[in-house]
Amino acid sequence: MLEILRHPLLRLLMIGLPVLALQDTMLTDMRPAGVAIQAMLLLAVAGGIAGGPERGALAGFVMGFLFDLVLTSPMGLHALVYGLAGFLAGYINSLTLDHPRWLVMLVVGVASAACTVAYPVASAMIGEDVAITSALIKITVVVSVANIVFAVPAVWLLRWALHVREPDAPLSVREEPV
Amino acid sequence: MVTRPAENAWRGIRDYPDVAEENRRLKEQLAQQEADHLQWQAELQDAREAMAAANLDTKYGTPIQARVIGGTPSNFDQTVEIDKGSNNGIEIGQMVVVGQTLVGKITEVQSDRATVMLITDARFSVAVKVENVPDDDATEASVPTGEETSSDSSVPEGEESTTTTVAEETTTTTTVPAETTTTLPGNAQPNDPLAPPTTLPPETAPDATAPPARQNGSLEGRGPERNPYVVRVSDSPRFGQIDIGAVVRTSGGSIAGESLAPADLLVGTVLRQILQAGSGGDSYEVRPAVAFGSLDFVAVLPRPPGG
Repeated sequence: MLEILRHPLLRLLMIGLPVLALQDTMLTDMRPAGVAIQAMLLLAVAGGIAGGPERGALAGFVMGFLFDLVLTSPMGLHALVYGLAGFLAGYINSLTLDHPRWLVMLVVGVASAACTVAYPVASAMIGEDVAITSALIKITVVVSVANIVFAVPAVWLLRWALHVREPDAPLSVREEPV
Repeated sequence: MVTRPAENAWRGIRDYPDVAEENRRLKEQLAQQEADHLQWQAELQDAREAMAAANLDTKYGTPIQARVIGGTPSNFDQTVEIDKGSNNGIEIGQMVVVGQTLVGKITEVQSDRATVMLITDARFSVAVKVENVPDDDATEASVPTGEETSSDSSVPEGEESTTTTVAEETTTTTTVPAETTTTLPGNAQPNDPLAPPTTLPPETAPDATAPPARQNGSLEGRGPERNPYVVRVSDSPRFGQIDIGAVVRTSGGSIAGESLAPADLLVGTVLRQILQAGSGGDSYEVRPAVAFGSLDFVAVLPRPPGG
């Protein structure tokens, strides 16, 4: 019974659902510069940094799928884009051996920005009308900065969710030996 | 008389707890009344907005009143959530209005809530007609002939700036008296077919009986922080030139089920003309008549027959 609680998918849901509620309520009303902070995207990207490309893709897919449940966009679009964002973050993070905190934050910012820009492009590719306007720049900047600020705790959360073992953990986020 | 100060002092000492208690009680009453006043003001505002939302022509059927309870967590969708759903008879595709002004349409319905796609959403589209304001109403807002006006000050920052040239004939008809339009060079007679051209072509002469210019098109949202456009379906000069400030209304449909929006719902006014190359006709940027940031109460219209 307790073993099932260690399953990454269940843990991702345990983290994703409360954050989804936060995203759909408080973060929808609190809009710095008129932009909604994307907490689900933060979790997707943090999953990549915490667990690498493959687990990042899983975390991104789950977070994106949950986000799709509350949006009017086509089901699976966010799951696809966030999955790619998680994979991208994990891949970028795997390019270096050591991962100081500033690098983690930088990767979160870059992956968040890439995903924010990729979303309207992916929407257009499947035939959705999404306006690619100058507002996209502001959205990208605000979302990236907000995700950078909360990058470290998010990576810590996703390490727990993905049950990252010591050898898989990046050096900078690896737990100190007791 | 002599002992009165001493009596007052003694009374003050003796009654001080009562005075303090009375003071505390009065402060509580004051705070309570202030809170009641604020609540009354909020309820009054809600009631006014509900009355405005309910101010709908009965020809649209009985609307369903709803309250906006949330926005969208996405930065790309332009939607709001309302507190009525399928339990209240709301269906996908129904139009949402404030008063007689179009706000959007229902795109998702749950049992007790529904999602409204606003007219600014890039996925939104509805058939509209653009009509010039009749001369009587437009006189105050007329622009001198041929004068180029810079982009309107209300155009959002960052928008590409274009210039708008107001049609000559529109202003000419309001400023040139009928007598002066037939002034001919030389000694030519007014009805002489061989006379040289007049300074004002006959077809631009004032015609009080002519209906205001009208074009049909499609209103399309353009995403966050941008006004929607009317994309003109056909460029037909015989329907006249559209002015800045022309009214945009839904055109409905002559065939049952052709459009989900009833005819003559107000959408907004033309803010500027977007000149485009090709034969597709020009587009118009539209200033919505609704302030979407302060939506509170809305009304959901029933589907039109056959819709």
